[in-house]
Amino acid sequence: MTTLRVLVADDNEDHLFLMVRALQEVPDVQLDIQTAADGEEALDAVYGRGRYGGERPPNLILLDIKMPKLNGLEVLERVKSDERLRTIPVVVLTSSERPEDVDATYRLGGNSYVTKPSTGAGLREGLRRVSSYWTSLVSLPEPA
Amino acid sequence: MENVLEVVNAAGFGALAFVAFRLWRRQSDAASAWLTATFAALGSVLVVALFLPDEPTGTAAEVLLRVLVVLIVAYPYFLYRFMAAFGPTPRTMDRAALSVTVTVALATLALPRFPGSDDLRPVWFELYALAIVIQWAFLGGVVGARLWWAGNGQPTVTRRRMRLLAVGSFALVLAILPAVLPSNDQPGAVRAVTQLLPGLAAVLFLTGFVPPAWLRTVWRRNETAALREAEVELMGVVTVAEVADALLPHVAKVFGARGALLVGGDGRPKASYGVTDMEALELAAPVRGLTGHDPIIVEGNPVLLALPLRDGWLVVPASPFTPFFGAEETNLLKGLGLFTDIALERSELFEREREARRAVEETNAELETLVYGVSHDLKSPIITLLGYLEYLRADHADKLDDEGRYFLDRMGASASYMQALIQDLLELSRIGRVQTDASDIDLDSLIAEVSEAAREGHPGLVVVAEPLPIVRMNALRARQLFTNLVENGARHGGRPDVRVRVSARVAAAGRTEISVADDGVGIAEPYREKVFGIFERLESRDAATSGTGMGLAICRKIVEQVGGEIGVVPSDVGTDIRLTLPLASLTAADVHSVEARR
Repeated sequence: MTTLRVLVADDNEDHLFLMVRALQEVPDVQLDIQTAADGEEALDAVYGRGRYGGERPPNLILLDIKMPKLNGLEVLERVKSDERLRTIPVVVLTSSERPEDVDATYRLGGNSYVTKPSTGAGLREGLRRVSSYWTSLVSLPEPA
Repeated sequence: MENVLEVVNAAGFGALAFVAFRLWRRQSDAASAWLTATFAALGSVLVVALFLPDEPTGTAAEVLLRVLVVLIVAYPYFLYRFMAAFGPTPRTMDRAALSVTVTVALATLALPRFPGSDDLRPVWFELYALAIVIQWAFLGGVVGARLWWAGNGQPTVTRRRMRLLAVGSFALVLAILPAVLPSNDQPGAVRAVTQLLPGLAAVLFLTGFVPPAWLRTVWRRNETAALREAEVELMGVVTVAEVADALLPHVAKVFGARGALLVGGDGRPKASYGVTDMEALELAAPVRGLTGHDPIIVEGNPVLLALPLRDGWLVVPASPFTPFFGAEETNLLKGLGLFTDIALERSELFEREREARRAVEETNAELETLVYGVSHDLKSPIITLLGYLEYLRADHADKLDDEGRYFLDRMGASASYMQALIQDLLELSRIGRVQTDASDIDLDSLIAEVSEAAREGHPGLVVVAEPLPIVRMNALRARQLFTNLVENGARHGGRPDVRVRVSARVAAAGRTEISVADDGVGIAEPYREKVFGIFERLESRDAATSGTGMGLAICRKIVEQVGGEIGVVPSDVGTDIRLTLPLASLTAADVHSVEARR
């Protein structure tokens, strides 16, 4: 089983914990989960610098929108405007339901917009679907 | 015969002099002063001439004759000054009028003698007669032309009056033209017409100055109709701007003005028509501080017609002729004042109500934003709470005793309830804000889907749907609405095998009334309205049937959003909820395709 690298960026420590745990419980995939507490850390992880020095870019990025320093949409924009990274699927996973955020996500090249399910079971199910869709159903070229 | 005509002419112009004099006494303005002078001159000449012998002899008669001729010469000049009183005339024309009149008058006094009617006219006398005719024709022509031209755009009565004066003035000019020839050389017809013309002129002048009431009424028809029209339009208006639109164009038309304006009690223009905002400010200034109950003419440039309103004025920039000719026409405005007052008062009431409603709507919108914001922010901690609770139960429940696990269950139930509440609050605040685009909803298939979903949670539930129409609303909201209604019946029916019947009938045009009735325990009369409130539940929360108590509140908001109503109607068994929804406007093809799908 190949190991897939997933980056989860969320400034809410608890949500981060719950998402990581939910992802770990997704059956049939081996996930290597990276976390980021703000937009800058997310970019560090994507570019393999800072505390992620030398690491390969992730195969899937889950982004919250409301984050300090750089928000999720800004991170999304950077990733999608970088020739080498643009093939990485980015799923915006947020509790925002503002139509502007949905529009911006797709305008900036986001691959999916998912509102955070409000129950633990819902969250697990959501993450299972998202990660299995992007990691097994869709086969994308490795980021350069 | 000729004598009779002379008497009639004398009487006519005497009467005109009297009328003008009375007018002058009343108005004491320059125009009527000159008018009095005009007809006094002509009238006195005609009256005195009646008593003068055909061939005057003696110094006294000679002097009297010359004075009379001077008065004849003065007449057109006075008439000219009457006309000039309404507005500036070219200075050269003023000077020409004065000098030609003075010259002819001096010549009259300087003539060596007046030849008798049978005498041969010397050349100097022919020249003198020509000068008089030229003076009359020039001044009379100018006055006639100016009065005629100034009648343009005036209210009908004023215009006709001015035109009668113009024609009268022309008639008198024609009357004197034959004087160039000695009376013996004039053809009989010309002499007869010449003698008739002054009488005709007198009649025209008299009618022009004091038209009989019936004639005014006839002339005024157009104006009266326009004002009636304005009154009718005023009855339906509800804003100050609409009052102005209904009123001002008609008023301006009636007075031949280029515009009209409404001025508030503070002296500031409220609305205007046909004038710029700057002009409106200038026109409003002179009426500031005026008081009164009758229309007022404010002299100035331009002359203003001002009708007092309950709070402010209706102002029309009028022509300089208005004070003299149109004063009476201003009374036409009086009746309109009352209608305007009522319309303005109604508009202000409406405006206050609109203002109040806007304030309420704003407050509501703010409240909804607050509800949305709060419930949205509550979502995040509840996700955390539920998530950790779940892992606590999964990973550590075995370390707790029964009581510990019971506490955990209660926490979980409470957190879930809170989560449902937040979800419903969010939903409630979303209605009308998001998911508002309407489409045609086939209620038959919607109810079928909704019932199937509801049976998952309530296996005993039976839903009976009669043929239902196609309604026009948002698809998501329709699903929410009927899910809530069907589940409401299942959940609060009081037993597992509740039957819910959905039926429809045509309500008002374009609407359908739908009934969702169950055969459950029903709702007691005092609570039938209460159940549509937010957080209203009739059972305690711990009952197995428990919801958040917001289902019907959400239903009501959805229905009201599409302009419908929802309520519980009395029924023998169970609960009968009635709601009205807009019907989709279908073509025959649509109906056919819907039928085919059944």
